[in-house]
This record gives sequence, C-alpha cells and structure tokens, in this order.
Amino acid sequence: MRKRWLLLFISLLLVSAMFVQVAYSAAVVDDVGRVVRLYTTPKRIVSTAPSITEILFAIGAGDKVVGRTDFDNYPPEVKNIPSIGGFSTPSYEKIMSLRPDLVIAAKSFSKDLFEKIAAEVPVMVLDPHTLKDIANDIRKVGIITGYYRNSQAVAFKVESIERAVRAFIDDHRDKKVFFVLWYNPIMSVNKTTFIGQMLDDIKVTNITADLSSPWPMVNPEYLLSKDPDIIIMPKNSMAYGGKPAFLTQEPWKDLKAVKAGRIYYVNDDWVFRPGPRIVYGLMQLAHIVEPSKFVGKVLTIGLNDRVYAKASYKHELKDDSGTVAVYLNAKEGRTYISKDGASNLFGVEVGTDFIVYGDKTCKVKTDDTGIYIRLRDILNCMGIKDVIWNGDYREIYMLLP
Amino acid sequence: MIKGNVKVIIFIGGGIVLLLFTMLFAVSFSAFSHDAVFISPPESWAAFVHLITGIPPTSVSEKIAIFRIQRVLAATLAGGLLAIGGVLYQTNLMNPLVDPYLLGVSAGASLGAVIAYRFHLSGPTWIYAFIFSLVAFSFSYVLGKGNRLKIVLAGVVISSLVSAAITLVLIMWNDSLHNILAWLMGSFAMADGRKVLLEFVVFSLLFIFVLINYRVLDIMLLGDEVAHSVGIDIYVYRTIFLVMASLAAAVVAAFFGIVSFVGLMAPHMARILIGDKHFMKVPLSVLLGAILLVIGDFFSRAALYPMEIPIGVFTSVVGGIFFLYLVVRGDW
Repeated sequence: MRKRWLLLFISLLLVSAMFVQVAYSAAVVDDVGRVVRLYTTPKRIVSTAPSITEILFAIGAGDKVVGRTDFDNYPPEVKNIPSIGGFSTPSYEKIMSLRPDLVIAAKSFSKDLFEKIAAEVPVMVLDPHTLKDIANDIRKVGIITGYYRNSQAVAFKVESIERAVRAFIDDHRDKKVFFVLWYNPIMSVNKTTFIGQMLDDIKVTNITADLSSPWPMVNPEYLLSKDPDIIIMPKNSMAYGGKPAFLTQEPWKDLKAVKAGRIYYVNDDWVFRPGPRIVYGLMQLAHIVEPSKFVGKVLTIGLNDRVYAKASYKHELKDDSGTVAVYLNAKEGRTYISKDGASNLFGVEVGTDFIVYGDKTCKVKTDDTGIYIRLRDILNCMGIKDVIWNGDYREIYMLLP
Repeated sequence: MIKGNVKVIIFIGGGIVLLLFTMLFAVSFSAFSHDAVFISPPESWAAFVHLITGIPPTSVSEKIAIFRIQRVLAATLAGGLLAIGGVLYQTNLMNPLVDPYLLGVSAGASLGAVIAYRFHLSGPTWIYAFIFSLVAFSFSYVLGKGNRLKIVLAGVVISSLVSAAITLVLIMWNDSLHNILAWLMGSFAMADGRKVLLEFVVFSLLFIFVLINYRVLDIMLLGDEVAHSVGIDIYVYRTIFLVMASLAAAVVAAFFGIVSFVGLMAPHMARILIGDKHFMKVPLSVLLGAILLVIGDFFSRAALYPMEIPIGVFTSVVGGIFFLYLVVRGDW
C-alpha cells in the first residue's frame, strides 16, 4: 500500500517537473541551419553586430542587451552597454565575463570563437541576403527572445515598405546603376547581397549584379564601357571631403553619371546594416530614382543625420528607429505637436509662442492648452516645403531642402 | 655554345621583342570574353598618340584604350623597377634570397596606406604609403650600420615591427578591412598618367645610373675586401644603391600595393640565362620583370572578367613554382 502511494507521488513529481521544464521553450533554425533552443527567456544577450543590436532594440529587447561591438552607435543608449570589441574578432573573455544566456552572431563572426562560445552558451547565427531574410531574422530574434509580437510588427514594417517601394517605383531597368563600395580598388555589390537586392527593388539595372563574388573587385574599364547613368555610394566611407577624388579625374569625369551630376550618397549605416533601418536605406535609394513620385521625403534631424520621420494614424511622430514617439494632436484639420516633441525631434528651441531654429526665430501658433504647437509653423520655420501624408501606408515623410 | 656577344643580342633583343609583343597583346585584349572591348593595334597607336599629346579622347573605346595603355605601361615600368631593385639588393647584400622589400619598404607602404584609409587623411593615399616606406627603410638602414648582415637583420626587425603596427591598426578599427586587404595584394587597376610618368622618371634615372656603374656592381660580387683593394668605397656605393633600390620599390608599393616575388624572380631568371655580368644582367632582368608583370596584370583582369584579381595572386604562384624549380635544380 505504502509502496503504491510512493509510486504515485514520484510519478506526480515527474509529471510536474516536466511541466516546469516546458514552461518556456523556444526553438528556431538559424541562418546556418542550426537549431537554437532555449528553455528560459534570455535575460543577458550579447550582440556581435550593430545590425543585431538594432534589431534587439527595435523589438523592445534593448534592456536585455549586455554586450555590443565597438561599431554600435544606434540607438544612442548603446553607449552605456559594454563593448566586446570589433565584430570579426571580439574578446572571448569579455563575452564570457558578461555571463550571456544568448549570443546572437553575424555570419562574419570568427569561426573558432563561435565554436568556443557555442560549447557553453546558445548561439544564434544570422546571415541575411535579402530584405525578406532580414524580416525573417527579426522574427527569429523575436521568437528566441520572447518578443515575437513586437518582432512581427517590425518585420512586417520591413516587408511592407519593401512592397510599397516595389509598388510605387516604375520600371527603371533602362537605367544602369553602379554602386561604389570602395574606390581603390573599385569594388561593388552583386545581386546576392541585400544591397544588390535593394537595387533590384528600385527596379534599376545593377551593372555588377551577375558577377560571382558578392563584393567583387571590378575592372575599371568595365565601368567605362558600361558607362552607368547613376552612381551611388555610401556617404561616410566614400565621400569625406566631397566626392571621391577618382571621379573628378580622367577618364572617370566623362562618365555619363558624373557629367549629369547623377552621383548620389546613401547613409552607410542604413544600407550596410541588415537590421530594421534597412528600409530607410531602401527609401533613400528609391528617392534617388524617382524623387518626384516617391512616397516619402527625407527629413533632417540635427545637423548631419538624415532621417525619415514618420507619423502613424495614431498621430505619433516617430524618429527613424520607430521608437521615440511624439504625440501629435489633430484639431480642426490641423496637426499640432507637443513642445517637448518639437524640441526632441527637430532640435528647435521652443518658447511660449515662438521657436528658435538655428539663428531664426519664428512665431508659432499654440493650441488652447498651450502644450501643443502647430506642426505646420515649425516646418515653415525650418523651410520644409513638402509634407506628404500617405494614407495608404499611414506614414508621412518630410524633406528639408 | 653561343659566343658572348651573340648570346647578348639574342637574349636582350629577344627580350625586347617579347616585351613589346606582350604589351601589345595586353593592350588589345582585356579578357577573352565577348563582353570585353578589343582594341586593334592602329587604335592602340591612336590612343597612345592621344595620351602623349594630351588631346582628350572622343570615343569610349579610345578612352578604354588609353586607360589600358596606362595600365600596361605602369605594369611594365613597375616590373622594371622591381627587377632593378632586386638586382641591386641581391648584389649589394651578396644574398640571393633578398628582394627590394627587405628593408621594410612594403610594410612601411602598407602602414602608410592603412593609416591614410583609416584616418581619412586628405590627399592621395600613395603619398602616405611612400613617406612611410622611406621612413621604415631609413630606420632599418641606420640600424644596419652599412653592414651586410646587420642590414638584413635590421630589415627583418623593422618589417615585423611595422607589421605589428599594421595589425594593431586593423584590429582596432576593422571596419574597412576588406578594402585594405585588397589594396595590400597589389593591383594596376588604378594606374593613371601621372603615376606612369613618375615611374618613368624614377626608372630612367635608376637604369642609367646602374648601367654607368655596372663595374662597381661586378666588383661587389667578389666581396668587400676585393672592392676595397681596387679602391672602391664600398659603403658609399652600397648606401647609394640600396637607397635607390628602395626608392624604386617604394614607388611601386605606394602606387600599386605589394607586388611580391618579381624583384626576387627576375634577377634569378636573368642570371640563369645570361650570367652575372651586370651590364647584361640588369637590362635582361628589367625585360623579364616587365614581361612577368604585364602577363600578371593581364591575368589579374582577364581571369574572371569583369572582376579583378589582385596581381599578388599571380606573381606569388609563378614565383613559388619558379623557386621550387630552383630548389629542385639546386642552382642558386
């Protein structure tokens, strides 16, 4: 009799233990085909690439990030997170000293280091080649970190903006585009990279699309003989101090694109980082081929950082990460913005009924509470001409001249 | 057995013909791809005239021709410079295994380029590469105190110190690693008229100086004591020769990156063909170095057209095979 009770007790214990085990369980197949399985929600995550940090912050898991690389600069809060070093060769000891319960790594991560870490901590590897891959990676990160709902929204945004761009942009495949990754030697991108993919999204012909290397070194005479209509280059790495010297010299200065002034810059961080902000890179590219018809315009916040500001139907104005929300107030068909929000977003000083932008002081209308000021007045003061409200995509975009 | 003079005529004359043929070939074809532009010899000549006279070209194919001519000329002169540098180093240090990069020239150039890229220094990258390579060379030379063996040691030490500095810069800021790696492997893709002209000036001065002083080089091979006994101040000459050879290597390294093995290979090939008399060995080395680099440059743009391969890939493979052959043959 006693024996039977004991047996029952033990089996109950086992069953309950089983339930404790599966209280939380998440498994995803990462981009190199490994199954990553976690039984507890990760609380200490180490990110080994700026794009991964951006994904984590975008889905709301920013406070779980305990390690990042030297190159992380976005969102600004990452400055307070300890760095593990560069992104191909970070410090193993530093990573382990952070006691992570999840490491999310990019494919470029050192292989030896990866194996060493993976022996002790679950490691998820991301290697996106398209915007679709980026969206799926955001979802995977969401599943494994327990922020699936948020990640779904962020991923959906990436997908829907890509769809929107594809829908809005006409066919420009008669335009030959050259993307300058580097100028000495000349390097570009082929179609298997997400930059190449974005060039396909904006429906232009990338003259290096079919080369076999993802980041090929290109024979300069190929560039001469193809004579591209448009040259696109990342701003920070290529254009310090004006356009790259090689384009001002023989024989490059006679290229069609150079003569016609069709050299455009894109934000390095947006086009090179396979994270949520890739869509701003995509919009910047789309803006190049079709500025007139483009759904969005570019807004400048601060001095150097060009950012797309967006407002949703809920009358929130967001910065480019989609995280900082400034509430807008719509009254009698006019849009008002809170004073805090205005100084936050536009960098203007706000007084009782005036704002100071640069050395300009403008009078602005406030609403009857005195807390909100009219958005139109701020934009006028800043010289912003176009504000486009895109009802279909529930976003507005603005351009500073 | 061919008599001396006939041999010289055959090898030097044959070398010149072969070089001209290779150059013409390299100018005509960019690759054996239907995509690549073919430039006929008359077109090449017209483009060459344009290049010399400075009349701007009109058609795209002419522009490409000019571009390709500059590239081929750059490779030719670089081969010549490295070959002379190699001969001077090997003779002056009486060491068959040294090349003009020995005294930290290549490491210095790389460090200069890495620093220029990394800190976005204004002006062309090659200026920094050039300055740094000469600084590295000066350090090794001063450390070596003009002694044959000490110079080699000092060169090794300085090179590894500078390499450590390069690694440090790359590790601390590895965001543009791939750009710099591609640069370090060497390429003639970005040759332009100014670089070719500068190369030509340095090459002419060096070539003439070495040919005038060929006897000194011949005597050097007999050893320091013999040189002293015939009244040659060996230290002065060694300094001049090594400085000039390093200058040659620094020009090439700064303009086109590290083109390995040519400075080592060409003098050996010339020596096997024609012997150790510098009056003949130097011109033949120059021709061989130039031919090697013109072919190497052709390979680097033709193999995967329109992608480029660093020229170091070709020269290292050919160099490796050649030295394997030397080892097997037991001939130094």
